[in-house]
Amino acid sequence: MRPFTYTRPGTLAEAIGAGRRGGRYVAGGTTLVDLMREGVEHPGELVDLSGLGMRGVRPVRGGGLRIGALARMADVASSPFVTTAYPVVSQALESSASAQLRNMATIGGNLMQRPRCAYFRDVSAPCNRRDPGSGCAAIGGENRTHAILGASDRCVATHPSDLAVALLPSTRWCTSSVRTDGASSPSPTSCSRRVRTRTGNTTSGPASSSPPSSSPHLAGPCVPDTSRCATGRASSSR
Amino acid sequence: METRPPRSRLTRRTFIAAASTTGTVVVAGAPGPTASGEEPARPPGPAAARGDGTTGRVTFTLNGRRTSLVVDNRTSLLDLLRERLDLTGTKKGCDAGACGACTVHVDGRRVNACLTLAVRLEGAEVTTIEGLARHGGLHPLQRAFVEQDALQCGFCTPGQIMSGVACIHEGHARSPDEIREWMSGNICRCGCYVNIVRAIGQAARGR
Ligand SMILES: Cc1cc2nc3c(=O)[nH]c(=O)nc-3n(C[C@H](O)[C@H](O)[C@H](O)COP(=O)(O)OP(=O)(O)OC[C@H]3O[C@@H](n4cnc5c(N)ncnc54)[C@H](O)[C@@H]3O)c2cc1C
Ligand code: SF4
Ligand code: FES
Ligand code: FES
Repeated sequence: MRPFTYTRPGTLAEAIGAGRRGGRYVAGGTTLVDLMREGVEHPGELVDLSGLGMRGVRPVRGGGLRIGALARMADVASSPFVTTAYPVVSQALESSASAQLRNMATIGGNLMQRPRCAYFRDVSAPCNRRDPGSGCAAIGGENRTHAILGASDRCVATHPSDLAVALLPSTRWCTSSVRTDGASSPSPTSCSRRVRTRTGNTTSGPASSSPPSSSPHLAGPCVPDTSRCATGRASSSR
Repeated sequence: METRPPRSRLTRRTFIAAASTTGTVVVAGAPGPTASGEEPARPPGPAAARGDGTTGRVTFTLNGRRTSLVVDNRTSLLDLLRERLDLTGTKKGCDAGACGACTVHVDGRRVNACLTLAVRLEGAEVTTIEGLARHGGLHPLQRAFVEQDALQCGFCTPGQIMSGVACIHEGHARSPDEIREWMSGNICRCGCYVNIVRAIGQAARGR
């Protein structure tokens, strides 16, 4: 792992500033620390988001839930707001990773996690996601668990998050979604990729009585990492 | 990364003997923090001298004792415990979050020490397997592991026990199936799962 400086901002503005000058956000660290150790990621500055709060889960007026980007997977899975109105989200979270990892990992980090493709982790293999333009080793290689539908000729990795999949049926439509290519998309999948996106819904009433189809809000300090966030499809490409 | 500080001359055998008589292994092998909370003359490694912001001081509570030291920002809690504080009860299996051998408690929650950067622990409360036995006796789950013969080589055991204590505390030990699901982050290469589940069930029932 290469040496890096470490900062822990106390305000959102400081965190955004640190991100803009090239700092890399760390939330639970369960993906990032591992990838840094593998040499896949080598940030010069780590910006620890844990001083920002934003761990809450609460219903929003008109239906839906607002989940803080720094809420931990374990806490969201067991939140009564989630278990009653969005059991699919709770179940998806509880089938992810392990109890230890869910105690560390956050919702923002889960949605922003990098591909779980063996070639992405293998710094000796070509991979467009790690090293744009180098090619995709998975297309002609080991790709049994990769995308069959919706893949591109540049990357066939699927989004690794179980939560992202569960958010699809929980999400009706997006009111706004700005993608890295500048287009606006009503696609619910892009909501789960773009953490700042607000997800609209058509139900009203308290969350506990909302049908599971009403949509969760995902909001928080997730300044989109535009260099990395791809097209926002579940199987995304650069 | 960091150079290893000189180890104390305590052998594994005398260490275990000391631990079992005093009931605490927290400070047995390592020069503990001084009353002021500052580390004594423990060399922080060459990194501390770099002065380029890639090291940092962190102060936290380790098994009930305030600990303050300078770490290379890259140091994991696991490496800090094992390589600098001589608390080798916490094991390194995969170093990638997948096996659970490194499980410790941070602020009362079970986490993987291998993915926890030590520099992030400012103000945290850390408990390792060495800090579990209190007041001279084994923790009930440690006793249950012995009674149920829940280990062979023992490498995964500290992690299993730290995870199991949290599993019981979380209320996820109400049936063997539930224990299996909620202990799935702890791998045992010797395959002692049946007895591990029994031991956790026994401790959960308070017997
Ligand atoms: C052994 C193992 C098994 C796993 N199994 C599963 C599984 O079964 N299902 C599953 O869904 N996942 C699984 N995961 C992945 C795990 O869920 C993620 O590692 C975790 O959710 C990431 O969250 P984090 O807070 O630790 O993110 P970090 O590691 O801190 O960050 C991940 C990425 O997101 C960025 N980021 C984090 N927070 C923010 C933010 N607020 N704003 C902007 N950017 C941000 C970081 O810069 C980084 O690039 C597994 C991981 C491991 C190690
Ligand atoms: S599938 Fe995507 S992540 Fe995997 S090697 Fe190809 S470009 Fe890289
Ligand atoms: S060593 Fe930490 S989970 Fe394997
Ligand atoms: S007892 Fe040997 S790995 Fe579990």
